Amino acid sequence: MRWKDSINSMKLDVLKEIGNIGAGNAATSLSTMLSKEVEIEVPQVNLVELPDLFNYLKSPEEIVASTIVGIKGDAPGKMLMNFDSASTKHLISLLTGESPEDITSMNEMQSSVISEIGNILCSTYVISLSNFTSLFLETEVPILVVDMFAAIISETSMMAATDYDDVLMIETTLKIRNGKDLNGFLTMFPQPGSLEKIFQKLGMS
Amino acid sequence: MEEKIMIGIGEFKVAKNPSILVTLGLGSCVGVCLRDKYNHIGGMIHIMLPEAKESSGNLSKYAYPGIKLMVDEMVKRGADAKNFEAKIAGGASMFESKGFEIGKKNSDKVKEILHQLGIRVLSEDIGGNRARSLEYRIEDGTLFVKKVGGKESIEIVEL
Repeated sequence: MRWKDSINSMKLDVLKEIGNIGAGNAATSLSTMLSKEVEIEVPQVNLVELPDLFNYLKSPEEIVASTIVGIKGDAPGKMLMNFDSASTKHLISLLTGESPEDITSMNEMQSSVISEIGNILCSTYVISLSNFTSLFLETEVPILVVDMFAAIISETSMMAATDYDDVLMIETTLKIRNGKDLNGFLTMFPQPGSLEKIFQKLGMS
Repeated sequence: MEEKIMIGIGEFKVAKNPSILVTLGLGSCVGVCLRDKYNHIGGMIHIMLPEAKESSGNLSKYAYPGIKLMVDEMVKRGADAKNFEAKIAGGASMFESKGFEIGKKNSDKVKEILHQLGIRVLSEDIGGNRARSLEYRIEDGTLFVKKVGGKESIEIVEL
């Protein structure tokens, strides 16, 4: 099965709008937490064939810290908030005053800080999606994974849509305006069936 | 000059000596490396799931029938199945969530199929909770397994 077979350009626009609303709210949350202005890049909806995923991700073997949050309720799926190594260290330093030497050996407090940031951003995204669509949506306990970027993306996508031959990503990048580079990559992977429910609620079929 | 050939998620490629077959980001996925050292042909498949439920779509992402498809392709290109030797890696459990035991299901299925096909598994690096990248040299059958180690380094192990 392929997402590509069931998504036309009108639906793509709706998904971009969802991405916009979700990410916009998440960015506001992060702004509040850091007391800095956080911007989002224009959200994109991308359909990538599985074998092309490595080419699509610019640095597939990069070591990153990702928080994965399950979405349950009327339109289940997976949310993923990803920060590269420099951003992870910078975030932890902004919030705790010290940064880990490397993200593969963070102590419990540091892991919990980054996991909680990811959790708050993903939850904000889901709440705004829930409000926008009037669907009942909740988030699950976050999981923090520090590993190669491509593995985390493919693993999460597979958990959401196991038998699909392509990956659907509703993604955006979060940056701190005029500040040190903070690159956050926020993605939503819907489960099959969830998109239909969303479109139905929004008056499309 | 050896050519590096990239195998993406859910696909396989077959090549001749002196190519090097590469794949990245094996989490619960399993990479199966095969070669016929006498006819200098090798193949690598990046498997995501144990068994296909339908007969359409991308079948290479399943251990069954993917591995057999790769074996058939290697034979078509001149390999002799009697000579085959295999090395496998992957099947990790990256997220500690119960119920997603796909890594173990994949590696068990892969070993079952290789056994049924009469192909010897020379070495394996499976399980754990880290993702792996692989580099397989058809020339001498060396498999390099890369994983994230301490201090954000990449550890390389030779199988």
